[in-house]
Amino acid sequence: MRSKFSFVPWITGSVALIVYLICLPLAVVERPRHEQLFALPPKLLRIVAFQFKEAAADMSFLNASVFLGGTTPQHDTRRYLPQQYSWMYNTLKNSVALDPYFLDPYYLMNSALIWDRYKQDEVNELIAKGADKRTWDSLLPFYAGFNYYYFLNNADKSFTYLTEASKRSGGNPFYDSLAARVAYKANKTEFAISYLENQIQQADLHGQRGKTRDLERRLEVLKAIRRIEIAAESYRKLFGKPPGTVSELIKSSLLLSLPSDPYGGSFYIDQDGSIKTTSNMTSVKKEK
Amino acid sequence: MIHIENVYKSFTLERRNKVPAVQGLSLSVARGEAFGCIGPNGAGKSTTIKLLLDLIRPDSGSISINGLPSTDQASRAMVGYLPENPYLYDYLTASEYLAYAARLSGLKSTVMAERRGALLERLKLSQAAHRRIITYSKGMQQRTAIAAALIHNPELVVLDEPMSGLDPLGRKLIFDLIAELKGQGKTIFISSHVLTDIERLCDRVGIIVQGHLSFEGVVKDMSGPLDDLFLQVVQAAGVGEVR
Amino acid sequence: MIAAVTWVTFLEGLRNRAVYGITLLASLMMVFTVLLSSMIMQDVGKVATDLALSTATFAALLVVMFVNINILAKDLERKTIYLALSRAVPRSHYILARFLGLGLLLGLVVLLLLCASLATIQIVRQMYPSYFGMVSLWLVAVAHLSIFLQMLLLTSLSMLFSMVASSSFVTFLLTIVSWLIGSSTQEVKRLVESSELSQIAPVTKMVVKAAYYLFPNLALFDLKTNAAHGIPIHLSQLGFAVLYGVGYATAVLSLTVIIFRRKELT
Repeated sequence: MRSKFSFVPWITGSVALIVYLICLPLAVVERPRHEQLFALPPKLLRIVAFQFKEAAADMSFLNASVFLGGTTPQHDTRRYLPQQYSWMYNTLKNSVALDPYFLDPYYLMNSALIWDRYKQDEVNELIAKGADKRTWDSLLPFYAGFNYYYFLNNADKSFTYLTEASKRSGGNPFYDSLAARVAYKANKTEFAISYLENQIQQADLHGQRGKTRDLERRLEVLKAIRRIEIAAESYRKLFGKPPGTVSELIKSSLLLSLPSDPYGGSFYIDQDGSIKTTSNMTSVKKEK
Repeated sequence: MIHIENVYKSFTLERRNKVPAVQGLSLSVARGEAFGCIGPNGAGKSTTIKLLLDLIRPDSGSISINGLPSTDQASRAMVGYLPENPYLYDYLTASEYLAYAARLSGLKSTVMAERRGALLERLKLSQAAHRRIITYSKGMQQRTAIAAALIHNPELVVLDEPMSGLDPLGRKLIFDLIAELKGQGKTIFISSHVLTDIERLCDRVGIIVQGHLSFEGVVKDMSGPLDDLFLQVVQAAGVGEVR
Repeated sequence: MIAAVTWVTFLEGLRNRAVYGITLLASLMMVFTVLLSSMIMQDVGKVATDLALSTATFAALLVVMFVNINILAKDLERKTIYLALSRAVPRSHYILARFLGLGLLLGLVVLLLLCASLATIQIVRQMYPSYFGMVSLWLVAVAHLSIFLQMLLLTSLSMLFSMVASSSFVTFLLTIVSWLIGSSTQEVKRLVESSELSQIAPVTKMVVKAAYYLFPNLALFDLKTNAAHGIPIHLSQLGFAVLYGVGYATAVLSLTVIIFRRKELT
């Protein structure tokens, strides 16, 4: 007698499979965007990564890179949220703690954090340490050197790193010229203008269109500031006292027209006499 | 050939219980003799064999094979051992296993090939010789282990339960093989529960009970069947439980 | 005699199904390496190299943990060792022969991993030649040799543990813990000795120092950074690492033989 064939297991199996496939996409837990990949202090992270430090560094960097690619700055302030800056800083810090020889995190730190004036002291120190480790690399000492002078007012360190960059690149004349400007305590805006012009040139060479646009915008702001600075200097020489507002410069015909800020802010003269703009580019606000 | 003198061996189980396995055992087997070792389960037969082969060491006493102490590995150069279970490398084929066993004894490849072919034939394993041991039946595995014990033509053959796992055909095969080995003048030491085989194959027999050699005698001189003698000796020794 | 045992060991490894699983895993990870490298902006060569080397380290580690340990542990557990020891094979020779067989197996696996790594790195190089950086293929090969030595060292430790452990699982645990300690011992020692953490008890410092000397310092054999950036390794540094490895492994194997000689095989 033939044994009875039962459809029961086939039916229960198919139904269960269908239920599973339906529920699976709905059961996904939404992870908060700012969850740190590795939430341990760097030294401990190195120990726990055992022999996979470099791979962990790569993952951490990719996490930051993907985040940056998928996030847009706030429309009004043109900045990211404080917790987003904090997250990026920690993620990139972890990355270089795990593998101090990895170039990309330093690069990202420099473009995303330094110019947005987030923890510039700490970030540039990391870049400087990276420059010390990557002894064959002239890019990092160049960045560190520039940042030390323009953002952190440390002429000595700036000079050291810029000359190091020059040495490592076999005597790049641009690095030399910047180092010379630091030595003569040159005007910082002109210093930055020179830097940006070089960066735009490099970006053009590599065909990086998007980057060129950003840099050109920054350059425009700095050139505008420079024009105002020159006018302010003339005002001081003429009237024996520094100008109070930008409109005074225009009234005295020292400044021919009011320059416009491509970032949408307006220029003003700060208490210490330096020319600043209310927009993102030279915002006074320092994020903690 | 074999000389075991006043050997003591006890095992320490968990919780520091010392279990005596062999107590004051003395035994001798002459060259060319077939010695049968019988006794109840747990009497110490397998332990005695392992002591002989230096797999375990005695607490006191001495063991020697052919004049060499058991602790000297040279004493085992001409010994073939069949353990109580066929512990085989199941990822190898019988052919490869025998080749390995032969090479362990330093056999030359030409000699090995010849002997291997003959043994496989004799033990009816030629068909399966190129299949992995993992596919073998229990009986085939036992026969493979026996072949490995004999591949290097040893002078002393130590068999611990040679008939286990074999069907009647297999048993006949092995029985005839052992008889043939005896005819070749080899020294044979068998531990077995199949008392009829012991009666027919062995010259002398020893009954081990609770680690002592309770009886030793020549088979020819025995009046009655071996089972009766066995039960007699065991009862006299006062064995309480059946292990 | 030793050759016979060595060969059988090698064969057992090859016929172990775990080896195929590990090969598959390594291949997948190499594909993953190529994909991830595409997402990197600058240091593409470095990422490809150290992901490939990380894969190689991991795969070799799996071979030690799941194949090498099994071979000797099973030999003792299943008593298949009776065949060799009931012949005139000295116990010390047996251990040495087993070690050589495991070394041969490991060598073959690492060689295959080297081929896979080089292929992966070359593929990435073809895709992004200008961003490739200063990867040194010669150092990649040396790094693989270093992985081989490291895993050989770990194998010798696993053999020692299997002599004293009550089951193959315990051997497994002891071996993996040794690898974890060995990989981190240099970092931990540095951390403890640095002036940053002032509240470390002297006992902790002693324990860390003891562990540093007792367990093998596997950081000596980690040459990923050198290979990824073409940072040259001084011959003396390499020579010292090799000497250290050989010395440590020899000491461990000697201890293994001493213990094995006394071991009772019930």
